[in-house]
Amino acid sequence: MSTGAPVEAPFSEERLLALLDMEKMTLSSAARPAQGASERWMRYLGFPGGIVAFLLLYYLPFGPSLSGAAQAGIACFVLALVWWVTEPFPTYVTSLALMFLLLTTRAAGAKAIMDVLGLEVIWLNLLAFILSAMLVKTRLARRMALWLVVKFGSTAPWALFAFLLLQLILAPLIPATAARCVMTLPLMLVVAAIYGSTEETPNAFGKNLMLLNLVGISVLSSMSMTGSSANLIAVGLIQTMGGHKLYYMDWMRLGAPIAILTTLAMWFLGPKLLFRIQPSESTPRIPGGIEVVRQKHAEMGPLALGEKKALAIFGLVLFLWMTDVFHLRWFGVEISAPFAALLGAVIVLFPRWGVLQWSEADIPWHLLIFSAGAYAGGLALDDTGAAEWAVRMLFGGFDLKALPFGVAYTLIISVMMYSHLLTTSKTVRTMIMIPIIITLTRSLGWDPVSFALPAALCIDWVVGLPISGKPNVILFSTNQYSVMENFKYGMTTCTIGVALLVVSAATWFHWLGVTPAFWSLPQ
Amino acid sequence: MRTHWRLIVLLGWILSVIGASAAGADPAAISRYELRLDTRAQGPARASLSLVLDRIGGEIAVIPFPFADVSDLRLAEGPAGTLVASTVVNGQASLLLTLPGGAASPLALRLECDVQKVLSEATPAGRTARLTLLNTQPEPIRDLRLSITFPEGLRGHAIREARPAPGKAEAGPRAVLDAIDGRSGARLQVDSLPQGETAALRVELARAEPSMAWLLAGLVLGALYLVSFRDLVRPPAK
Repeated sequence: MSTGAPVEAPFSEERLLALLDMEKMTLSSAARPAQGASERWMRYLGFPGGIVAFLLLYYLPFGPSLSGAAQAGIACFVLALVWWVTEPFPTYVTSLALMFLLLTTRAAGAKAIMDVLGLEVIWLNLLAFILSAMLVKTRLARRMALWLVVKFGSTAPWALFAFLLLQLILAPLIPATAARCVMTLPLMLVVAAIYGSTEETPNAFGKNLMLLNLVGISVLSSMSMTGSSANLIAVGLIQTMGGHKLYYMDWMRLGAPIAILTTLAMWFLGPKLLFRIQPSESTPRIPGGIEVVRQKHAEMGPLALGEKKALAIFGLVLFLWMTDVFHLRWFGVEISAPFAALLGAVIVLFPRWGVLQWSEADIPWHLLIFSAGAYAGGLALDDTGAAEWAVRMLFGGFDLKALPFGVAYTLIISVMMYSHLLTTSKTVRTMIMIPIIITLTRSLGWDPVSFALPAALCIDWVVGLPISGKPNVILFSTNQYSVMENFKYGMTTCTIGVALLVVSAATWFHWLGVTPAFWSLPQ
Repeated sequence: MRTHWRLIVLLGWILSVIGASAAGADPAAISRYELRLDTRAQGPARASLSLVLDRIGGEIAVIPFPFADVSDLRLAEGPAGTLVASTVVNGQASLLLTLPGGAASPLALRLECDVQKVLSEATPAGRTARLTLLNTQPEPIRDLRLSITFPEGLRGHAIREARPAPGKAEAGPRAVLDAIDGRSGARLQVDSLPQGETAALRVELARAEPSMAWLLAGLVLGALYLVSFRDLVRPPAK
């Protein structure tokens, strides 16, 4: 790793110190300014475009198998999707509009819509932000970020690789993706700033950093069956409906190589192809370069008392997150991820012993509202049967009977992979897709596990849109990239994943006995 | 006259049950139960119940039925001489079939009747179609299919209730909306409904032609936005 001097240094030392003083950095609720004429036009036409999409879907006759509520739910969700993508106004305003439309079109009831603010995921987000504020307030995040840059971040590729490695280590330890995202977000913000990427002046490094972390957090969850609760639901469905018991290693030997290879591919391709990092951006953009960062790290001295407290509290929460399978045996009750974070928040906010006051916790309510709207829309699609109807229509459109395994497999895996664009919940998508895949492939004469297990490996790949998952919402709020840039990066990731899964089915999945010969025909 | 006839059939049924119990005979086993309800906007719905009895326990078979208020009950298909009646015992409706001597299983029958209160009264939110069947018999009802066709001009807005909940090994929902004989309707299917279990289907209905208010509001809002936000696409001032 070289320590090349920066070509251009837009930050003074004072500016760097201001950026490192993350207490002043909040996740802005202001709308991201449009970049370029095409984006301005997209915003201008996005609003009427969303309305046109809504009206088309609301009034077109789709036949008696689609309920009125489901049709209204699809129309509302697509309207919101267009507005989220084109951003005629901030994403949380779209979420509020969506919630109102769901009620007035009778796609969902008032209680179901309001209840989303009580969902586990919303609580986890809220509490994780309190823990994140603790890391910032005690300057532990600053210390960790500086250390990370000093050790690995003298050039952009290595700084990115350090985060990839960090997410790879955290993935099997903390199943909650939002928790993983929030605990590493302060580090991302500081490292992005050191490389000259801020909310006001995002650059290619910032885009690569945020989106690579998004891919790392989501895709690496598919390494093991315990990577997310949706994975475990899929395992249960494969066992009960597919009649095949899956063991930990059955999943890991297939999922881990695909996930790691894809993440490495994005680490390589992102800065070289999607968001090219110019040579001037590939080193810390501060006067004095890495030496100044090293100096600032040294100036922090030994751990302060607040930092030690923060480490202890975070360690306790981390311990509870990592040991959730033992809770029932130890405590007689399972302390789920939000409740572990809740305990952490209690200690953090405790008078004298804690490290934070409520007013110091930077809770981004606009993010929670955005999430709530997205979840209300997603749940409406599920509850009304709209999502299931869409999947059945899609599979009904293919004549899979006469197709060789490889072609049917490619179609089904592609549908599974890209279907995350239409849902906001991995669990819901799993509950809809996996049973359909099992019954469909069995009726075609295939062993359902040959399709269902590789399809289950796609569950966590929810990287296409800012509404596709919890980490997506959190990282998007940094305003370092646009919806279209998220889409481009996410679709590239998913396409690499599909290609790897197809090649694997033709080769080592078959050698392991998971899939039949690629060109074989159904029995 | 009808009340007397029902009393006689009920008495006969009670006696036959007592007799069958004493003789160790089994009650009728239903291997197929298909009830179709053709609802109308006004007046009663027409019900058509197709049955296959796998085993006939005696001369009288008791068939659980979702509706107590039954009229114009008749046997459309089945052995000649079969008598049919409806009754309510402990609040549970049933149809009583008095089978002719020599009727052998498996026995296929079809009954038709008019039933009341399938559709709720019309409200501004729409109407609701409801059907609830409790299996009061010792034997499970196998291959149970319930369907409702909606009146012209209405469509299924949402399935609000579909019981029993699907088991872990069952793919897909318990009830679906579908076209039945060219009309909008809903179907519910259960492989086996044990004694004491309830199959229920409740569908909220709405006008098949949605209100034009959304179209109007959407067009006005869209046009207003395009006019009011023209500055968004003006090049930034230098």
